[in-house]
Amino acid sequence: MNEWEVQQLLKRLAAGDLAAFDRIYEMTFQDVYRTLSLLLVNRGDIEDVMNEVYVGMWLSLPRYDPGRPFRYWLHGLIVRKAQDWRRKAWRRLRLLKRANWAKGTDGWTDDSVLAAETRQEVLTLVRRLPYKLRVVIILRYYHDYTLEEMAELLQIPLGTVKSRHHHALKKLRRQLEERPQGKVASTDDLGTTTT
Amino acid sequence: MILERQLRDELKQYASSQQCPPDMHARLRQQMEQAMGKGAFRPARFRRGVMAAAISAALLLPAAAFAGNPMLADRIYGSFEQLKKKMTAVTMEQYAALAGKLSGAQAQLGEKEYARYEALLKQYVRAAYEYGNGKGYIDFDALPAEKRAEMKQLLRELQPYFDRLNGERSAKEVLSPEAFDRYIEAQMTYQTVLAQAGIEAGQRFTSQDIPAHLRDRFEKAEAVIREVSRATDPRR
Repeated sequence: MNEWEVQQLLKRLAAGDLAAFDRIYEMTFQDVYRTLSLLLVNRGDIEDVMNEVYVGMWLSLPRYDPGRPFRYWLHGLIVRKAQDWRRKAWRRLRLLKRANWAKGTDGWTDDSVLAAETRQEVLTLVRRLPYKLRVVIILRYYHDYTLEEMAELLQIPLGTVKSRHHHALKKLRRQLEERPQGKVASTDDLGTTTT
Repeated sequence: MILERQLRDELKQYASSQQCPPDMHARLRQQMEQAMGKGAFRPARFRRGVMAAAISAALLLPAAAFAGNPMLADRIYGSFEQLKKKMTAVTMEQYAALAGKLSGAQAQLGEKEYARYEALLKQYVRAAYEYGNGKGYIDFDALPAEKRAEMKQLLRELQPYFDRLNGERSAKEVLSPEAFDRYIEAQMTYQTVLAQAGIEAGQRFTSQDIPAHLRDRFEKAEAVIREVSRATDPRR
């Protein structure tokens, strides 16, 4: 993603240019969708939050700081929108009028099913982490951000990022060890030295 | 650093297997277009819909919490088996999710208030068991007048709890008594139409799924609910 091109597109988008939206969508949708698929526990929420992300992007364009990389801004937005969605969980008591809902129970991600299907045990544990810790793990190991970059992106102090990262790894390790038939789990305590 | 490597591998592997639905672009684009046309744009969200219908619809709630106390759900619904008899489409996961929601409500409301809330929900669920269509909605048109009035009263009392749990301003306080009454009526109409249309609670639907002769009624009720949603938005 070329920063200069993005800036131009965002300007056009702010001016109401739909073609610019198409281009931005094309550049970002895969990333947005996949990041959300990791952040959210319920598969059924992904499309809703994706909607919020793009709408949110448009709404917060006036506050966009061209001095910061677009990628930070986008990922920060995704994290915030996913979090807002969780906060508003109760709002989902409402019945929604939306098309294309997969019938049946397809929208429910059941961890055990997921694990069985994919044999991805660590991923299953990541999904069980508290949201704040999960975010740090996903930004660090999926997006390969450094801890410093994460602090900027999430706009929280570096110390907080470090401690969340440390906690998250510790928790994951402990859970891996506690499994009934544990496979190989790293037992060293080097959680904070990954940057 | 086995764990770190494993995290990288699994996260990337899982994510790359996830495909965005192809029609997402068109849907978003339409929203954007609408947004831009309106200038100042508020996302077209239908934030609340029918809360009460939603006792059954509550079943559809994704749980924020994993560990819900199943007892809480059992106290209201009897048991999963019992609910399953009435609403065949319901799944155990949904029931567990509901229990998670109720735990959240308990924490938020506190013991005493929750007890009151639970009592109201119980009454509602009893009625839904008796008069519901097995798909989670009640056709209020089909109720005897007395029963209907009773249900309406129940919904009036439940509404402030829903608003609170949703972190919204209380419709009862924000609206005039007449407007609040219209709001409750609109929710009942909404639910009635869905019951008559044979829509399963929790299934998404489009206006195409609503039979033409009900559509006008439905849209009017929806407009009222939407209006109230705006009025009770805590950001206002």
